[in-house]
Amino acid sequence: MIRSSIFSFDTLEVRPRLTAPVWGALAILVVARLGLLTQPDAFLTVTELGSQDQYVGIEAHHRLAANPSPNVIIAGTSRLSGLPMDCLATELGVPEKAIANYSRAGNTFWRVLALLRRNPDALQNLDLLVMDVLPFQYYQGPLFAETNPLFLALATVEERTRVEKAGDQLLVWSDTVYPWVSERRRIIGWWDRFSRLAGTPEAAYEAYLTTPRPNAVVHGARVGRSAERTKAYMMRCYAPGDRPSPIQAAALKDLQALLPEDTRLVLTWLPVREDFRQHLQAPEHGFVMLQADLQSRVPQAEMIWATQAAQWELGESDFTDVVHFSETGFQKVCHGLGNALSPLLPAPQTPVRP
Amino acid sequence: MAAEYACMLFNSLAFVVFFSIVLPLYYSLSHRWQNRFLVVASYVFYGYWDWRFLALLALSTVTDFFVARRLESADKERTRRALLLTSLFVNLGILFFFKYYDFFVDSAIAVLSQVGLEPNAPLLQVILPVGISFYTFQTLAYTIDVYRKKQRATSDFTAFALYVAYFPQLVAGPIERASRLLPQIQRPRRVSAEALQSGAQLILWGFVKKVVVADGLAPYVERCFAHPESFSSGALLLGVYAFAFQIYSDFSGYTDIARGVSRLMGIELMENFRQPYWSRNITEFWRRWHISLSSWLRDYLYIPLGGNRNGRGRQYVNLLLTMLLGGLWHGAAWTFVIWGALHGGFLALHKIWTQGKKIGIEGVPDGPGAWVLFIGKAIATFHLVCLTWIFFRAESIYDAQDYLFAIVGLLFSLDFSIGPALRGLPQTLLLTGGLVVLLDAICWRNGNELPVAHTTPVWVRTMLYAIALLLLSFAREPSSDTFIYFQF
Repeated sequence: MIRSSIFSFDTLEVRPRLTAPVWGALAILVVARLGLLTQPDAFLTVTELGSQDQYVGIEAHHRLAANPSPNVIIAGTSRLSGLPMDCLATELGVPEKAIANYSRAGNTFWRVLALLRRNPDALQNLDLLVMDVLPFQYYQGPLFAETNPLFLALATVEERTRVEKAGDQLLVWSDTVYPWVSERRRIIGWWDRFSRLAGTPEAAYEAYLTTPRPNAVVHGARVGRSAERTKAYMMRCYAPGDRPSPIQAAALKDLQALLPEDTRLVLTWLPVREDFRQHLQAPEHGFVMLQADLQSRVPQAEMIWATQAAQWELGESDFTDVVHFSETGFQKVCHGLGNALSPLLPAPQTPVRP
Repeated sequence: MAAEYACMLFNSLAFVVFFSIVLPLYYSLSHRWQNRFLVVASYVFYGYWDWRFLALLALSTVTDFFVARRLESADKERTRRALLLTSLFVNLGILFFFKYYDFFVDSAIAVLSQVGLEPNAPLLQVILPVGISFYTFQTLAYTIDVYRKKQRATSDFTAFALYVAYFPQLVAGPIERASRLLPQIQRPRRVSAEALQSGAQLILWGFVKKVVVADGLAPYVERCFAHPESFSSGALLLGVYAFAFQIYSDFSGYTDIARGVSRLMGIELMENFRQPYWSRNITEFWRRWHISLSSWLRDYLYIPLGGNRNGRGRQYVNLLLTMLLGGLWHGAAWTFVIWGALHGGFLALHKIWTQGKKIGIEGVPDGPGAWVLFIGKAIATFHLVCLTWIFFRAESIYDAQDYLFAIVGLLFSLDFSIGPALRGLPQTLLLTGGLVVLLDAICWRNGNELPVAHTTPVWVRTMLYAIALLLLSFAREPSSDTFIYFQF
């Protein structure tokens, strides 16, 4: 024992040691973890209501689709997840199955990149990759943390090095060593896994496709008395700050680089409700700044910037809240988007208009 | 403005790193240096959230230390009262300014505008310092005890600073009394093998309660209370049950971790929960729920108000007032006031019902008839408590009213449909609530604070620990929420 006025080492009566039950429990945990190493995607298919859930649903949709190599991919946010594909196909003059809608709530450049990287067959016949743009996808802000479980599960080592905050770095690297966050699922996910679903990934994917998503209900409910709360939430999405996220900025460039030479990346700003647009007029929220920033990152990308609702003849009733479209709104968005995208398609697919 | 909680939560990696450094260093130090080291560690722990508010902690500490010292030497009652008032003024002044100023000004404006006046008082929108209600009550208790001559004022400033800022219980309790905590701080500590094992087990089950149960239920509760108009009456009823288990698991899980962490350092913190949902009546509930607060309110509010010494009628008023202020302690909102008033009302009604008979914590029922009666009473008490939770959780009285009416609609509609937004609520509630009931049942039946005794067969202990570790590794929310009681 070392004894001095500062050190004494006599607080512990015994040397700490693990008991047999603790050793046994740790051994069981290690065996379970090692078993999972043989199936890296096993947990990806366990259902949950979160970003990972939506991602897997889209990946499932892609893999199970009649045409896994579409000509046009819409990889938007929740704003485009209800876009009627038959309408857009008519507008573009292509068969409906030539278009795939892989939009999802809170979509980001990195998530689209992760999806396409894991499914390179999606790029084989791809002419247009269309993403609707929101500032939170690009600028650092309080929403949609990049260190979510999906990122922890699917990010490359290089992408992990782009995480900036010290706390997030600790999370990312500790999860890389032991996936203590990225392998966690909600209780309901496990319940589904063991009670309702068969074990194959295809069956799990099928269940995703048939599981109702909460978005429609949530958005619907927000229209009423919670409209103000939604607006405040949307302000945070639309005005997150002006500092680009290194992960998203790099993902945007990587996404462009991943696309075949004759595939065009299309970034589009969709109209918002007029009263909300006026909230966004302040220079710090400027979508002009966003457009310029994005253009500088990917000069090859096409930009469709519909800043005024009137440009696409959208009125107040065409929105279910300040940013999401109603059924009539989707028809007009489909028309506006179709008109803008048509010239970008290669000649054989260009519709013959009377 | 509510505080944004970048706190060093027990369930954060930051705390794991922090404690992994603190504990071995602590073990290596002599007693005197241990106390100094823990003061610094506690200030780092608190300052991690916002270092500027360390000044408040220091102000409270310095004020009460010197006030108590003067109280000890002062003979004149007038001087002693002035000193006590100084402490009350500083502590309650800080609490009032940071927690209640906007609430009272806002309420006053609302009342005055009803009578046609248009006052122009500014709202300050100040940040609520984390844990302020807890450490304020703790320091106040010390000064009041010294004033009442129930506690000697300490001359050891480091020990007192640690008593106020001791990090395991700094931000969400238990609210310790000086008579329990100070002697433990002042004498050299020894940590036995049994303390290490039971402390680690407390931490393990605390984490299970917090990250598996409370965080697992949190998203459903959030949806139910954010948009009650979107869900069926049956779903909303499940939402209240879910909140009942969420808040219990969240708070008692936090307390278990705090007690476990502290036990590893040789300091025993008081038990704050004793299976509250196994209570047979509302009085017993308050002997089992947030014990450190309920006993504080009893000793420093209810009894000074007169307690039961001035007749039955006055006793009921005292109960109501105590619980009303207890509600306000939780937060500056009318929903908390109503929550407290409801509990006060129920307690008073129970006193009338039992005609003032002393109610204690009863043991395990004996015989089938007693069991049936017990289950009936426990379910009724649970539902009374659930009724009050609606006000506790709702963001406004109007929201609570809507929620309550929607549930009452169940009597007419019998609509138990679970919409897609709440998919999985019944199963999650069944699994997580079942886990809590099971853990509590074992403790309640055995009269233990821990579900796994050292006499349990090795293979059973192995399996139980393995289940806990597997749950923590694979079954929890992808992103953890903060502890609910941090906001108080």
